[in-house]
Amino acid sequence: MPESVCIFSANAIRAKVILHALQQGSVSAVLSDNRPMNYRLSIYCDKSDGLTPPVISRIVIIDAYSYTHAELKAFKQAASDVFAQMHVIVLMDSNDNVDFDVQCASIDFCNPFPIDPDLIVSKVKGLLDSKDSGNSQSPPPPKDDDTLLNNLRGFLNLK
Amino acid sequence: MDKQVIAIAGPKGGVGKSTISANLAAALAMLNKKVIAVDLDLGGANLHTFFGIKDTVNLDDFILKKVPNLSSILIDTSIRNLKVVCGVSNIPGISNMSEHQEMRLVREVLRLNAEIILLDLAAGSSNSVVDFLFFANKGILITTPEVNSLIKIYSFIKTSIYKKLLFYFKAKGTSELVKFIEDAMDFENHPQIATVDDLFNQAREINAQVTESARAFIANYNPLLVLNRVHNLQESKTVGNAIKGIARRFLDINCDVLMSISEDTEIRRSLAKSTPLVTYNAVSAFSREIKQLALKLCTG
Repeated sequence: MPESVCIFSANAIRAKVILHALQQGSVSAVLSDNRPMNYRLSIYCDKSDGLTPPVISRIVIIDAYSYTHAELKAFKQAASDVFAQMHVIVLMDSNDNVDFDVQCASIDFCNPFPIDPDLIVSKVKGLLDSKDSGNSQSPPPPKDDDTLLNNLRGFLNLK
Repeated sequence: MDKQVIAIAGPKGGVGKSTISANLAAALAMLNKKVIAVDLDLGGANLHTFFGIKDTVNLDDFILKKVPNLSSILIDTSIRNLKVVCGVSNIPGISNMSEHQEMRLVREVLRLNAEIILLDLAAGSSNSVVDFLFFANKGILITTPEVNSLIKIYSFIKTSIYKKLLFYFKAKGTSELVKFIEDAMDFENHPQIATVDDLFNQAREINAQVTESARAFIANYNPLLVLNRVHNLQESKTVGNAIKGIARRFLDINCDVLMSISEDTEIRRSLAKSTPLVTYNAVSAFSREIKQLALKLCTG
């Protein structure tokens, strides 16, 4: 069973703060499994070397604040293949003009300093809840075009 | 100086109209536009709270004629290029403003010295809200994706079409058509007029020539919707298609979604700080989308 969340941070203390907060919130999480943590992130998507397993968590937290611009650039290149089906939460300074748009299922941002573990946990839980509800056995009826349109026409008495 | 008046209306209360107004005004100011935000939510003014403004002059002073014009009650904000006219606080019944008071207010709004004047209107579809919306170059309707909010949006657009037609027929001096529209605005008692097309077909029997020109006039009406608190792209598409579909079918107009703005937990924090989110958190989803909206309004 994969961990729900994978955390990327070049700062071990910040990484552990996030990990601890998630675990306290009953969310299974893992730090990126390479040491030292500021390794060349682009390696991560090279699955042919047999050393680096593919990322299998559905949610990744990227502490962009802890990486250099060059590392972020490498990360972005690597992420284009790996994160397409994943939800990404980026800790990034609002004044930092680094372009960090990766291809992913969804992207959300948090202020990195001071780090706000409660906010990160709430965002992760929000994503997990939406994922769980999507996988449940008896989901609520989908709110598709016809359902909404029919409701609107009914309430507005539009024949 | 080219002046643009942008009116923000939200037919249902609590859809985030003032939050969007405050942040959009800030975002436009951050694009180096000289902006004045005017709180015209006459029954529930709160725009000042988004900028941490307390105990100051406001529209009360203008309406009670304590000051000669709106420029006298402009308040600087901490955001460069952005000033605010704070709303009414202590005048009972002010939301039912007389036509004379309303015209005086509109005249003074248009005299304000700014590149962009942003009007934060009241909830609902009262006469003054619809009138202020018509005075603006761009009218933006804020809604959330829920059915109860969309019902209000539809009713608002329908009412505004009828009011536009009323103005048009008055301007054309066709008293019979004016009376016809005034009667037809009692929607409950005219179930046979289900669509705007039905309305025009009946109006044609009174005056075909003016009715046809009115039809062309209304065809240019294109309300701009902003969907607030959207959870995902699919929801945005679904709601956009539904509103577009019924507006086309029953009101005979195009109604497009100008922007979808994500639900963002950061908003609650910004309210606690009395500071627009766009000014200190540029990377939140809400801030990025508000900036896109500001760019669209500047360039569109």
